[in-house]
Amino acid sequence: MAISVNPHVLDEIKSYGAFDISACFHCGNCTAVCPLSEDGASFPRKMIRYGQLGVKSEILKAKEPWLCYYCAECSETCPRQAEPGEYMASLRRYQIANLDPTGFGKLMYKHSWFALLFSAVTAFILATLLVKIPYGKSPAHWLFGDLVSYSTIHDVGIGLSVLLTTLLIASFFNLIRRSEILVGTSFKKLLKAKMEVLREIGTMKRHAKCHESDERKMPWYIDPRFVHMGIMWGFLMLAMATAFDFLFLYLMPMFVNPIPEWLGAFGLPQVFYPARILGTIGGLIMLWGVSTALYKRLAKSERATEKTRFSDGWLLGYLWVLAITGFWLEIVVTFANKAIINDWVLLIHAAMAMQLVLFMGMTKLAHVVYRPFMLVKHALRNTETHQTGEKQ
Amino acid sequence: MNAPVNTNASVNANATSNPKADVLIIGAGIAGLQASLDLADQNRQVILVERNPSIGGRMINLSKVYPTLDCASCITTPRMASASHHPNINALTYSEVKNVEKHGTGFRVTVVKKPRYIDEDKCIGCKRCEEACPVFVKDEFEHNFGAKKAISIPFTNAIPQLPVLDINNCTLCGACANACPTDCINYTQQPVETVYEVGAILVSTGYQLTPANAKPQYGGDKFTNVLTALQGERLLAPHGPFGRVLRPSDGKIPDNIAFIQCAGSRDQSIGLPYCSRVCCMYAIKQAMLLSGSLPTADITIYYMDIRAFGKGYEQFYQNAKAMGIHFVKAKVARIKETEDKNLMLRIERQEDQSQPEEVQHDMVVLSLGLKPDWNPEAINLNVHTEYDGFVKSPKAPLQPNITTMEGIFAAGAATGPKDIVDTIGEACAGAMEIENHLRRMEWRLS
Repeated sequence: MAISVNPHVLDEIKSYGAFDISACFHCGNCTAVCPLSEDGASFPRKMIRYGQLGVKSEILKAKEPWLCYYCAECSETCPRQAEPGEYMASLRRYQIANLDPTGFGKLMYKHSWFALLFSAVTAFILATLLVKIPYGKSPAHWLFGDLVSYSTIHDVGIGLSVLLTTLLIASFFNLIRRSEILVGTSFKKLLKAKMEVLREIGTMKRHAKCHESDERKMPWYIDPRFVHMGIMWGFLMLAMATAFDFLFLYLMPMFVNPIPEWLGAFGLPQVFYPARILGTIGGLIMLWGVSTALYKRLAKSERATEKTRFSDGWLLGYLWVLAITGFWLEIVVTFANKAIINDWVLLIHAAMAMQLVLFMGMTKLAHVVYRPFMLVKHALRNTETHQTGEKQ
Repeated sequence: MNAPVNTNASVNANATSNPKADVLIIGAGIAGLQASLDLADQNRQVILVERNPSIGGRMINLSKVYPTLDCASCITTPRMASASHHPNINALTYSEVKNVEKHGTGFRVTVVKKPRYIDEDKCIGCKRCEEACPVFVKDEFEHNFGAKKAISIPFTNAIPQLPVLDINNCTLCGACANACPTDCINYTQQPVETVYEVGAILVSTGYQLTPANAKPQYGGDKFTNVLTALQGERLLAPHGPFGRVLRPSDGKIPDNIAFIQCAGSRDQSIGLPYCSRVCCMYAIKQAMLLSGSLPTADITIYYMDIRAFGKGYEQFYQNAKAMGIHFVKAKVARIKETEDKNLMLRIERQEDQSQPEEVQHDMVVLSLGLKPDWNPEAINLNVHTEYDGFVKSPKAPLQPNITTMEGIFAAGAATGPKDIVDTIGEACAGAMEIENHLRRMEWRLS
């Protein structure tokens, strides 16, 4: 494909973050100082060049933005203060927004007011779908469970999942269409690359390199690597708990109460329900991660969080509210509290959870698809060089 | 406008007992020397104040000068000698300006003479004290390569040839006092303050290098074989600390040397966004001299872009390339030290595929930038500085020597990074500005 130069592309990318790569004079410091920049993945300068030229086709399929974990060392040492780290983050936002087929992603990323409005409207619509009015009962006598029907939540949830999957397949198709990489790759190589990426996703080992030469190494509980791992593993544990819940409750009724009798002696036997133990631990881990990350974002305490945008806060804010309301509900269920306010909390919790899923392709949450995909692409880089070598 | 003034004959109406002069020049580097000689030759009385024990400034410390490769000390020493012997120049070495206040059309300047702990009138510069002294201290003139005695003449061709006693390191053993043939050692000497009345002041305080640790990624203060540019100069000076080029950690003859350009300027992240102007050229010069001393050594200059702006500079740069000095366009991001004290430089190779790469060198010279060496605010005067700390020149294009205070002028690297050629030109211009000013003010010396 012919490469065309377009100066307007950079203006467009600039609406996704606060950086000034027009100031860049290509000394190459950012790429050389970056602990993750390596053979076959030279960044950020290469991406800056693409940005200055406005090669949109290259930018949209580039894996480099997703290999960066934004330690901000390039931004700290940039002689022109062009903020290459923030530029890489903006490219990630730009990719998500531009590959989102609905077009809402662009609007949400660019305008915080739209993100707020859109979130509020969709939340209202979802809540209306979930609510059932208990006719013939005076509001004073409403009890927990009267207002929200569990079966509706599940039905709406399944409906949304179908919608989401369609959207996600569309975005993913967009992504793959721009990356010829998977064509002609043997299954064995793909599997090997996938295993490599799974290991990286699970442990974020590359991230450890980010602060290797940093004298201000942080204690683990505020280290970005562990904070992100906390959010991710917490989230995954909660997802697994939900899946187990579904499994136990619907598919294997004989396991409805798989708790040994003797545990009842401690009271509250339902606390020891395996799915719930998993969910509680996952929730706590995620709450720690999200709170720490949210605090860093709000306090703008580090170079990497200095330029925080609404879209970064949006995801964390959602996760935080979900975690808090989730624990609220767990506590009221455990202690059999029947106050009607719990229904409203449940409504918020359910609506926001559904929004999170619904908006997956157009918000920062899309990175759970993009980053692994690009990491696979990177893991296959030797194949790529091989192919281009053949062409030459 | 004014009639020519017969400076020495006329009588000042405000005659006081303070010693008087036409001009006081702060800093006896090449700018101060040039301006004082120009003014003194016009029969002006000049007081030349120098903070260090010898006049000569930075230039006497250099190996050679670009683009002619003249020996720096060979062309500086005659200037130093002329200034120190000139009947109209009173060179106050090892002295600092403590206060300046406006007084009539001129200024009252308080100068503090720091104690050398010797009687300067009696000393004959025989160096017997230096030979007798048992205490070795770091040699600042050699930028801590090598040692000198606690009482010593600062360097071979220092002017005046008077030793300074380093009282902080002196053990008061009395060896120097016993050895002195004129009995001039005085361990209890005190600073002396003198107030001078002068018609005009020239600030020619020059520059200092960016600190070696300004960019911590380079380890300039941690790694033995990472040198500052001035250390590089001393290694190459004909009378340098080792007499030849050796690397400091183990005395090995280096054979793979790197120069890192813009190590202390053009970098907003360390607060020095401006170009220091001299670094490209001095690095090329040092590289040329190195390839002369070590013909088989590989010499690489890592640069962002080469700024060879002066007369004959581009040719100088092209000569260096033709001599086989490697020029690599890359900003070094990080230096790591290996076990054998070699240095790993991480760069991005911008040719071909543009890949990050680690390259090894056995010695590295940081081309550090230039920072102002004097803060005019310290003496409570209305002389303003720019955002970068250099003296502000409000009429820069036409009258670069004018400062924000009438009667106070500036020249050389005090007003901004400048090489020797430009410094001398500006010093000459400054002398002329001062002469005009004195005539306009009808300054009379009683």
